[in-house]
Amino acid sequence: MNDLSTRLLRTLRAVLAAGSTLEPTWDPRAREGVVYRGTGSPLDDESLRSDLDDLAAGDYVEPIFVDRLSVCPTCNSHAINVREVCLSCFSSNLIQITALFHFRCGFVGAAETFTEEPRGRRCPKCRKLLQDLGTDHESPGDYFACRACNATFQVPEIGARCISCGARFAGLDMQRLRQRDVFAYRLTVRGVAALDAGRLVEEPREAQRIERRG
Amino acid sequence: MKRNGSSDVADAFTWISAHADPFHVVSAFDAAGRVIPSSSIVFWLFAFIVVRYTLPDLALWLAYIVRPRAFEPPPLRRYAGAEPLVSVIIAGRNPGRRIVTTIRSVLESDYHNVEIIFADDCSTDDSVAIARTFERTGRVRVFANANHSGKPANLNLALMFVRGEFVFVLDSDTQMYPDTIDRMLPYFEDPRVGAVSASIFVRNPGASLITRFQRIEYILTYTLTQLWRDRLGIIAIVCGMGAMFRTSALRGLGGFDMGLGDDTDLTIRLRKVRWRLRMSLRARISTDVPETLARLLRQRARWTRNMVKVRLRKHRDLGTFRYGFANAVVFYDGLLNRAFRPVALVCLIVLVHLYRGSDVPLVMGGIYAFSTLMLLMKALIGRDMTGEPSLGSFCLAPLYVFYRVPLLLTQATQVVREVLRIKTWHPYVPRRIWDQIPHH
Ligand SMILES: [Zn+2]
Ligand SMILES: [Zn+2]
Ligand SMILES: [Zn+2]
Repeated sequence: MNDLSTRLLRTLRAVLAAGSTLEPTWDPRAREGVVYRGTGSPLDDESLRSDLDDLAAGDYVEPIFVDRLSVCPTCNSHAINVREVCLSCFSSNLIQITALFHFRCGFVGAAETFTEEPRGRRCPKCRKLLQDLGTDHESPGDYFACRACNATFQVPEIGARCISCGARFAGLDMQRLRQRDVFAYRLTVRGVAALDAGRLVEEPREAQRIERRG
Repeated sequence: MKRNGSSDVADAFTWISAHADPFHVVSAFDAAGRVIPSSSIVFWLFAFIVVRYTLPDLALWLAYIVRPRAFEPPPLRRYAGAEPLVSVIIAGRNPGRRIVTTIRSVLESDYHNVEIIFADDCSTDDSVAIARTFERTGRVRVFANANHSGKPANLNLALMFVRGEFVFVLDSDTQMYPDTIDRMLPYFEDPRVGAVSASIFVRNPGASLITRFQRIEYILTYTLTQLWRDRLGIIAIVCGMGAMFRTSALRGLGGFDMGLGDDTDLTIRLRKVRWRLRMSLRARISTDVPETLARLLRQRARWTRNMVKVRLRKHRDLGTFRYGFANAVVFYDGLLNRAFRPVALVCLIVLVHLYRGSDVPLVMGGIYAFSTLMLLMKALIGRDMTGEPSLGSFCLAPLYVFYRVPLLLTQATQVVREVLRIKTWHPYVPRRIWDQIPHH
């Protein structure tokens, strides 16, 4: 039995110890956003994860999808802040506004343009008081206004900023962000058998391992 | 001799082909003279109508021959080199793929500083998704209205998002040409100008006989009329299919009012606050027109009813001279043009038939010969000034009367219907809104 398979077997035992399923715990300080606690493993998280990948490839554990992380292509950080941005200037300085449409005179404007009065809102075009929503006026919908460039739009773009290195992504740039999936790992029948036997069914070779990660 | 309308036109046509010589044309006028003698006021009324529908076009042509440069856009000064932002607003319901042609025509304009705002009137097809693909260009923004609320409301929705100094209102089934904006903008050098309209061309003339006739009609009854009205300062309509406005003029009025149309009413409201309206001969837009007679009649019925509602009711104070002489001319001419003429035509036909002793085919033939002659004259003027209608369209000239008469008859019935307020609601305005708007 080589060093690697001893280590993998130890990791497999840790999965059993965690109650047959090893769940990730979110940790912003971890380099990739999650740690697998309670493994009692002397290994750092990085090599633990590669061990889990190996075990999953050998069908000793089954990976269960938990979430998908965006990873900065520049600095590899998972600390990405995603938010809605302006269509034309990619600023995130947006405000949401409700539009109102007055049937009587056809006026359409932001709700704020209808002056608030004790008895209700007054239409700036025809000076009539608005009654109940839906009877004499309604909202065509909400929209966003950009405080940076005054553009208005209904569906904003999605933009992101890396909190670690400050890089900004928006529009087509968003495709440059890498995606990484986070899994929980559940012991399989084959894994249980390996633990009972005290050895992995097939001795993984270093070459195989490199190939798989390639 | 048969005495019903449809065979009369056929009879008249046979008569014309058999008697097409100067003597008989004269005798046709003579017969008409016996039906309506010159001592009668009716004679002078019809004489006035004939003059009204021929003289301005002839005068226009003369002016064009003498000084063609007067019909070119004025020189650019303030806006030379500094392209002000022009916001193109489009309102549409279920335009489908046609919206692509419309938006592309704007993006391909020689004038680059444009933004496009498409207000979708709660389409049930994939129009919004199609239009949104253009948002990636950064020059197009799409607003999907959560409710179906009609064209004027959606134009107002789009107007709310306008950032430009000028607004170009474009129909979702209409396109502009690369030089359209460049040929309209110079008119705004005059700070008193609030709106500029363009020549309208039919985009689908080959679709049917009906669209071929409309191709002739748009040049003769819209473009030429607009041009001489422009000279006299009495433009009565800035066609909403494609026209450019000063944003402050539109916003100052609070945008479009709700009603059976958008352009007639807006034009009068602009006139009332004394904005100048211009027409650019060289600016062109092209539009899809109704392809079947049924759809055409429905469109014209709505236009006519809107005319009556807007001109005769909502803005009848225009006739009091309170808004100036030109505006009063616009009012009374509109009355003559949109309400009196169609009704007069019906009266004329009835009168001819009632007058005992008159040779009905002879009189009808005379009217036919005269109107076809006038049509050919106007078509020649139109072709000289705009390049349209095509020479092929001239072959349709003998049939044009038979296209126009049903339209005028539809107009006549709609005028009567609207004046008597029979079934006034029209689905152009959704019912819940219709019930809230003031009907004058
Ligand atoms: Zn109002
Ligand atoms: Zn912006
Ligand atoms: Zn980064």
